[in-house]
Amino acid sequence: MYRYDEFDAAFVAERVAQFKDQVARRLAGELTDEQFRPLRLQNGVYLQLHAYMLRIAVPYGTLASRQMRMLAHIARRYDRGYGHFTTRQNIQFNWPALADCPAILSELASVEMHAIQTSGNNIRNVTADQFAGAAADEIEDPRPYCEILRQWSSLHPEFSFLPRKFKIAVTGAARDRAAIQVHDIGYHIVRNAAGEIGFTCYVGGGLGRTPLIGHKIRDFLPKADLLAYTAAVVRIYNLEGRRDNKFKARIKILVHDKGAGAIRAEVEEEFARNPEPAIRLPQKEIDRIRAYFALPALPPRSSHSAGFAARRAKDPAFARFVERNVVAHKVEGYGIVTVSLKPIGGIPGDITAEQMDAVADLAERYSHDEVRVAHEQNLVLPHVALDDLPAVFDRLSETGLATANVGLVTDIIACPGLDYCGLATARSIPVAQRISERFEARSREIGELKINISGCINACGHHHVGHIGILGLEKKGVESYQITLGGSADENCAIGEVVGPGFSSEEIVDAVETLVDTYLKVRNGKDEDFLAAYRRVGMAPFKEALYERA
Amino acid sequence: MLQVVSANRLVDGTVVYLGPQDHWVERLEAAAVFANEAECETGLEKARAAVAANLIVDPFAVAVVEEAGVRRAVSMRDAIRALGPSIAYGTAERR
Ligand code: SF4
Repeated sequence: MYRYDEFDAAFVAERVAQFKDQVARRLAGELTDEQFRPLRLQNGVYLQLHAYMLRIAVPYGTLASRQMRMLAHIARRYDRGYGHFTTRQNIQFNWPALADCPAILSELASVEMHAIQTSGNNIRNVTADQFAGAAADEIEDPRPYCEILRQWSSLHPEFSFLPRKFKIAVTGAARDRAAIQVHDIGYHIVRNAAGEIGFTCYVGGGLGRTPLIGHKIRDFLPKADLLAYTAAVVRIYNLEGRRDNKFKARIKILVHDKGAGAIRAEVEEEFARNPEPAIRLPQKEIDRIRAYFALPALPPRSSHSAGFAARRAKDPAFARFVERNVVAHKVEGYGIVTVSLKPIGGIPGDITAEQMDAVADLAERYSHDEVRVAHEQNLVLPHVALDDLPAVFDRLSETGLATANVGLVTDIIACPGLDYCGLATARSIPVAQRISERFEARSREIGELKINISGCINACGHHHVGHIGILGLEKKGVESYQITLGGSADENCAIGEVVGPGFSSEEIVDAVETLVDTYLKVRNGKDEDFLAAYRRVGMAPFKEALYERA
Repeated sequence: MLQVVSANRLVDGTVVYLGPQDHWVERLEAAAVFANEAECETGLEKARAAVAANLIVDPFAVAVVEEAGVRRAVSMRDAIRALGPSIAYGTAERR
């Protein structure tokens, strides 16, 4: 994986020193809260309901064991023994003292991590497919391009004060696992008719209060032009995005208002103007960065592992885990293991320090030192030999991390909601916990079903793209949950439709059960999952079932 | 409606309330209570002074009720701020 060079190390160290000084001046009263607030946000420190919250970047969701161990150490030493993985592949600590934040950032810098651009109106952490570099269906690993974008965009003077935040995602397989069409820019790695590899570019996607799907503005962008084209898009946005209204400031509103055709024309014109020839990427530089992400040397193994097959045959729990949590690796004899952070009745994305250490140990021993963070708030061990799967499963089981539910109704994405977040209008986590408990026994029968929950209209839980989306609102001082149906974040991206009036906290789990039962009634057999059935039959049967009860 | 003044302590972000002796306390039950919004203005004035003295940030008035000797915040948001997350978290969650 990428290792800091001298420039990166010096840059991050300098930033930590600056922040240390800023915090000291704030605590000594030399800076007012107004002066200090943007400085702390630039370093990932938010003030939430109960305490400060520190958001740490996990660039394109890739972590080494030593980094995971450092997160465990920070959880223990400076927080309350746990952390929370977010839908943007980052990690948040919910209880750090402001006075400790410089020390935390300094410890993070020692393992090449930081919190830069995890807040503010700049280009945020670039996200990627969590199976990048390992997936059997991949055209090319997207992470080198994420890293190139990260280096270019970090503290970019022209793009540090955009009208609003700016999120980029890159995916490298036909199957979009990075939700690129709901990002400000989504890059999809493709192969053109001539066999060259480049990017299809989507612009203007996003969720929040105005959910919109990105428009394809380029079928094929050569790799060398990645930065120049990105700069053209961001420059047009920087010049024309609305700064008068925070709620209309994202690029999606600009694209929507002007039309994708007009934006495409402006971007192409700016790109053709080529104001910065120096950011055209030489192949040598691409190769230099790609070398950091080279597939580890995986010794050849047979696709038939006797130990694996025997365990699978005799242990139903292991067989279920393999069925749900392990997918094909590009190298024969290996698998990609998803470590679910969705224990039944648990808090989506939360992980204790002990569990972080356990995952770090497993990654070191069995996955070539790599861990990934999925935007679904799970972790991934990307390179596990099938022979080693029984041992990995056993260790995960011991530490409460072997829940075999990836992609099932209990694998719920949920934002922190009103239990932590200062912007929330309702709680998300308890709803997720109750749904998970309600459906545990039936989850395999129900099959693939994604439920996403947000605690306010900002949509950090990506509810618009859940097959069932739940948005927590406040109605006359009481929590009320609005349901959307038919959303999807993959290559067939769709924004869910609101089904009707909201449900109280007491009613919401029953309402979801009604939807699930309706699906089970209308589906054409087990192979037709919830989304496919919904797309075939439409909203009517679900709506009827939900509101006839009232 | 009864009011108390709340804020977050600057140094560690902890939720605090203005107490009867004008110091900042961590428990809602220990907060100074004002009879209504107008009277709460004096509390908010003290809070602004505490902001200027770099003790706290983001002060605001919180509506509370007292029933059978138990004080609680009226809104769910303020109640969760007073009591902490409504869920078992961290090692408490993974018993
Ligand atoms: S969706 Fe709302 S409640 Fe949830 S984390 Fe985002 S801002 Fe907070």
